[in-house]
Amino acid sequence: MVSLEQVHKVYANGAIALNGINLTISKGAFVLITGRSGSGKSTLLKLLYGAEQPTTGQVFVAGTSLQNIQGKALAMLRRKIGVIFQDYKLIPNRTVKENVAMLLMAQGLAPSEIDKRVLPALKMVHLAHKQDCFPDQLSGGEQQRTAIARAIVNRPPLLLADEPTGNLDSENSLQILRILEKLHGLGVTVIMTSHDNLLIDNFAHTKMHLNNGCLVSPP
Amino acid sequence: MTTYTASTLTIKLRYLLRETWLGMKRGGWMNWSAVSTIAILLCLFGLGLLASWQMDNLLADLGNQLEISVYLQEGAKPQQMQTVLSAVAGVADADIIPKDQAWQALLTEMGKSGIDQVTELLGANPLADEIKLRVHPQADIAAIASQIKDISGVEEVWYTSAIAQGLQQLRLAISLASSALVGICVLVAVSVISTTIRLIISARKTEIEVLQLVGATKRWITLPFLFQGIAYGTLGAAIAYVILWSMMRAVALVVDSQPELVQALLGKIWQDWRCYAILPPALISFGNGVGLFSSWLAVRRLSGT
Repeated sequence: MVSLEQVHKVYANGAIALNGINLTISKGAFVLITGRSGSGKSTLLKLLYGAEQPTTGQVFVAGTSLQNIQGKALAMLRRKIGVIFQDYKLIPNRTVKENVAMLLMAQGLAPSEIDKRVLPALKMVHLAHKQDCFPDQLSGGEQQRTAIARAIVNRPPLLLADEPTGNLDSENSLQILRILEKLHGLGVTVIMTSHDNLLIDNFAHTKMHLNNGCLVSPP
Repeated sequence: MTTYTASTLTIKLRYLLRETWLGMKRGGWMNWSAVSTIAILLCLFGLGLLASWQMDNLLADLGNQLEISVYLQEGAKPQQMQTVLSAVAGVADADIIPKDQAWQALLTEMGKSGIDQVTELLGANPLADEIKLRVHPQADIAAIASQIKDISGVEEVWYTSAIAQGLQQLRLAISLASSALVGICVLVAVSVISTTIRLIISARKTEIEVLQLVGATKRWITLPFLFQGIAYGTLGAAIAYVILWSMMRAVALVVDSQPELVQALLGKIWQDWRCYAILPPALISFGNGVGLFSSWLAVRRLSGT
């Protein structure tokens, strides 16, 4: 599903984010990438959804090389990838349902088809009853679950979660983890980054550790 | 392969129009600065067009009244020359003014006291036989005069070229002045509209980022902003047309009480078919073009990633 070959990423200011990463993640895996702040976790995910390009090396996602990918090809690839962020990135003046349906509306799907897809996604994250609420009427955990619903509404085979529990308390963090495990159980490949010890301790799948841009054995 | 049915296109169009409307709502009062700037620009553009059409009308009217005076050489037969000159393309009518008649008229104009002095001074009648030609309204008077000058038996040709040339120069000056004003206003309008749309893009930064991340294409993200530019152009054109139309109605009400020169200059431009058939589409096309270009300038830097 995901493959990185000798990937180096050096930012314009000279900061080395990733240093010779070789990584293969097979379809249906659930991987947790740990590491302290600045270790390169977010950069690694950005390379996977095409927001950054490697300085050297190759990145493949779902059989597609991401080298210099842009425009329509990148947009089409992103429809196969769901992305979740620590800060949720919800649109404040749109309801939960509208936030979740954004891509479906952009694809020109009929309202009935949008309802058919949005409702199951909201049910999956236990938010069907809040579909008409605005983000500022939701708790942090509910906002993150809305973001998960938005990420999975197009039924992507790959889900990337960048510190999804970074702003949440322990109860909400574990709820998010349970939802991601449920999605993994449905066949979705999940790659998550975190430095949250609670999450790391409760995680029963593959763990990887990034230290100064290099992949090392988990501590 | 993607197939687009009519219903898919309708749904997409409805979505785009909704996003355009949301963008305009987000713009608030900035929308009005963009619309009023474009309305001012289009008013000037419209006034330039109206002035140019009015000059065309004046020149056409003048063409109806223009005469060419052809003075014949000594010995040339006026009747024969009348036939020859009537056959020249563009000539509508030719009248002979015999030199004796002209001399008598001249002497009468000068008064009796002058006759002896003039006759003594000049000896005999010094005038030549003249043929006055009227030309067709759309004919090129200068070309006809030049052609006649080469006809055997013609001594001299004279016509009121100064008036026609003066009007043509005035028309050119109006065109240049209005083009310069419109040019400056285009720059101001482009600057105001693109800044407005940039500010709206900035306010919707997160939304655009999310759309990019969920896989919306660049075209899909930028279309509502381009539609917004077109909406500014259309609204500006509508306002400009209402202003121009009101101005024409106001002129129509007072023109009859104005001096003759003012009446001649203003003519009856509001009765010109171009005010109704050409002005509205010209304003809309120009306004939409400026709006579209300005919004394109604002969105072209939106990253494809």
